[in-house]
Amino acid sequence: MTTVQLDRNQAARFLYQATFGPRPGDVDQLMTLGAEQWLEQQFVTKPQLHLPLGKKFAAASGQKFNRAVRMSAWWQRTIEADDQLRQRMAFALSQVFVAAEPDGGSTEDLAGYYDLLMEHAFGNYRDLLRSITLSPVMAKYLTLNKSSAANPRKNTYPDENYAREVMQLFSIGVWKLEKNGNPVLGADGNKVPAYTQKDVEELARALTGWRKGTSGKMYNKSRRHDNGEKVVLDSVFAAGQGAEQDLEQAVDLLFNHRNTPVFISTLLIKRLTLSNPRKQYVRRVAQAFENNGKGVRGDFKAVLKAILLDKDVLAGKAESGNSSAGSAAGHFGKLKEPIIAMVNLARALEVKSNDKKRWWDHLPGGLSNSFGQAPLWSPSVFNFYQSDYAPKGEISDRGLTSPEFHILTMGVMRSINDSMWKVIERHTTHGRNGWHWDRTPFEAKVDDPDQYVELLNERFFGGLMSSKLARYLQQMLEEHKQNGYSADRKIRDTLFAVQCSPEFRCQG
Amino acid sequence: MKISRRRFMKGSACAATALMASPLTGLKSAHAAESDDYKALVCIFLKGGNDAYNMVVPAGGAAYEQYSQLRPGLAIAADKLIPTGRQTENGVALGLHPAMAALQPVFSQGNATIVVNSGQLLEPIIGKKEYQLPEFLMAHNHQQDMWATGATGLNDTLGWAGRMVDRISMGQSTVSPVISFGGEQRWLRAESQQQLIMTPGKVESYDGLDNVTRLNAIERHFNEEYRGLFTSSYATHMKDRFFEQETLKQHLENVELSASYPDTRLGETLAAAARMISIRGDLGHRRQVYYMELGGFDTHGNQQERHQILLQQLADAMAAFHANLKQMGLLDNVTTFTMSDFGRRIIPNESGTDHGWAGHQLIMGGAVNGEKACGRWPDLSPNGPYDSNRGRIIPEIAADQVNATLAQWFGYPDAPETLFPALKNGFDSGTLDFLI
Repeated sequence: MTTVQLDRNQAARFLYQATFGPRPGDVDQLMTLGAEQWLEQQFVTKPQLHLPLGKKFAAASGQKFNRAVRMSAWWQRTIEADDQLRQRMAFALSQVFVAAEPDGGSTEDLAGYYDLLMEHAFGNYRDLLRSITLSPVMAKYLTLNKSSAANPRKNTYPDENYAREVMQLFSIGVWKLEKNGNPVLGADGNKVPAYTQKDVEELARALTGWRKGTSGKMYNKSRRHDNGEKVVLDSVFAAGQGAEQDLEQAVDLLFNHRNTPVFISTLLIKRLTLSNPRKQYVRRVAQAFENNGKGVRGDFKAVLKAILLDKDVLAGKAESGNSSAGSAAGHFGKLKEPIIAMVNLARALEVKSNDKKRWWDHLPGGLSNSFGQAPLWSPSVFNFYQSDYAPKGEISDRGLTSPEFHILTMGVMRSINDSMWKVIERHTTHGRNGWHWDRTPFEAKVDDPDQYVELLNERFFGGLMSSKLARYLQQMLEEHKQNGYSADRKIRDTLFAVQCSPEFRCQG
Repeated sequence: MKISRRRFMKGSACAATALMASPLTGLKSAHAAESDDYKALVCIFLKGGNDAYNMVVPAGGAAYEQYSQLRPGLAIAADKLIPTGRQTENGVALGLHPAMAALQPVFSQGNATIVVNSGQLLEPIIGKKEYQLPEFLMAHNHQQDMWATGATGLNDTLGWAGRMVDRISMGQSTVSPVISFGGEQRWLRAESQQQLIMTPGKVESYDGLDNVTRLNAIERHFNEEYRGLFTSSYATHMKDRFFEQETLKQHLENVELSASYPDTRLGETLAAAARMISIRGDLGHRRQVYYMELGGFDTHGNQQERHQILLQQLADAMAAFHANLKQMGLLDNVTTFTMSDFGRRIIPNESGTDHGWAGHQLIMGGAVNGEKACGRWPDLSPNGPYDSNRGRIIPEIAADQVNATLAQWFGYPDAPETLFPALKNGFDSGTLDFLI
């Protein structure tokens, strides 16, 4: 295995990509361990699941398992759990294999679905695809549950919902793709569809008969399964081979499809590292998906390594789009997803729950109402944003994308600010549901602008703060000193300026 | 933009008053002359693919018999239908789903109609053997995009409403008259306008901005030069959203609506639109375009229960909006209409319906031609002339014709096919007669 030596800036960037943001000391620890060793440690760290924690929270306060409980568990896990890479990957997977309340079931069921993603985060794509296909949450969300062979008496047909979306969104995508993710162009110069309506209908037939049993698991009611021959994407499903075999064949077909590695890799790259990866980068990650080096296809560990340690990521390279190649340097990175930025802040401050028994979703409006996104809370299976979304203006003019812009409405921009400000301001343990953080290290340095700004830099930017912002904050402190302002005022004003700075809200 | 510190220190209640300084003053005089010919288009997108063939049902006769036979588990009893008083051009009387009773008075006053059997088309198909099909007919996102751009517009980054407003004088304002309650919309994407992206809740000020240092800090972030594309785009976005927020807060603060709206998301959204309509003069808007959506129409399963709830929400909210516009004296100035990904398949699944093609749309407002429904009721029989693929119905009216009609009413000055090039492909007429 080649060894990657990260410099300090690369280490900081790595932690913003692979975790919910560095806590004090994390950059040093990563530098000491080395990236590969850090990854290996993360791969074997015990999963910190959400459903059991939610149950604990609910019991601690004598509540039902409601949505606020699920969201509270998400805050605790992303802020405090030490299996950070798994937490980050699970959140990324939750935006690919989308299910959501309320159509996917109860909030407790959804917590279980999140844990299913957690459990497969370092596993194999094929196992994950099979598991979500037979997940009762997904079966409810995309209505595979009770889909039945055509019934001439009742004049009903198989449900095509899951069959369509599993191809469009969870595996191959709508267009035939080159191995670097570019669309294949037909003789007429047009993009070529990866599947037809007929394929959807045939796959829907292959997936008929599945029911949610009393145990909560899916089983196949064979007389509701369509046992005729089907042809999906040119693959013949032999008549009479049965529902189980039809399912395995369907999963294999999608798993081994030439589009799948590059389609899934691109989506994960966009969640973790870059909005505009170069084609070479995408190709390299897709190659790791195709073969982890030991002949295994679909190994998420290999995919994650390839995404996080690619030379483009380490060198800060991104797609140039329509602009001349020389100006692509500024295209590196992405907008932070709003709730990831929120957790970045919480981790930088090392917030803790005021309630010793549990965490609370105490921000104004709650996690599910304030940020334009929340875990398993997408308005549809198409996620909070489409992965190729480009806001009007410079980004779309350059032929680039920035999906996260789509959810930054006028109101969301305000509530991100208000939520961050609330966490900064309410630093004491006052109020049972709140979070607190220790201001002492900040108070200790606030009268020394250089040292204090360096502390802000480490905490909120992993050392990546621009010198412009550093100078601005130093000036602010100098002026406050001249005005005789208190330490309290200095801390609040500087942290306000930090939280709403574009460089804190974006990921380099 | 320069902050007036003194002004801020005096009246610290509203940070924005200081930050905004000049841009708003002087607007009022500009709008007064223009508000007379005010018009608004209000799109309610029924997201997920509305089962239009259960929203609008033949009130009786052979068409009803055919419908009920094809949908044994889903058909609505004829005696439960809400009469609309509208007949299709081939003489089929239409009823509405029983959950939509609130719209009956609007129909009986002649202020609503139905466009029957419309959908995405590149050319007329009925009666032809060979024809071109639109791309990805049954895929949600592609079909939503087609409603937004026009049937041939998928490669156009602008939406048809965006291209339309680029050709119309919308008024002078610091706040965009192109307004979405559903995130940035391709439909509204224009060269000349940004979109105002709102949520229905109260417009409030930013927390934490209660001293001049922090105000200076956020202003510094707005105007700093950044090396990165994302930081610089984010700063611009931050600045624009901030000033929209503060401007609207100022204008909306004392707006009280005289009508009451149902306590649903769509009700709140239409109420928010009504508030924005009521301050059109203050904002300097001569024209406004609104987008909002009602989600949940992808009823593959458990349709009976879910569809009923959705249609009731739709009808109740539309009726409340209509009543409010009437009070405001703006019935003739505002046209509200539905869009949806696609209609659903006539032949059902176990407990729901799958993606189909043609559907029906509702049109509401004083400008509506209340004499009749627009279009012909199709023969729904499997393998019949309107059947594309076992129960997926071929539209006779193009979505582009429906949309061109709306655009023409709104004041789009050029020929319909300049907005919707597919209309050149052999349609009898670019626009329809459902608006006067």
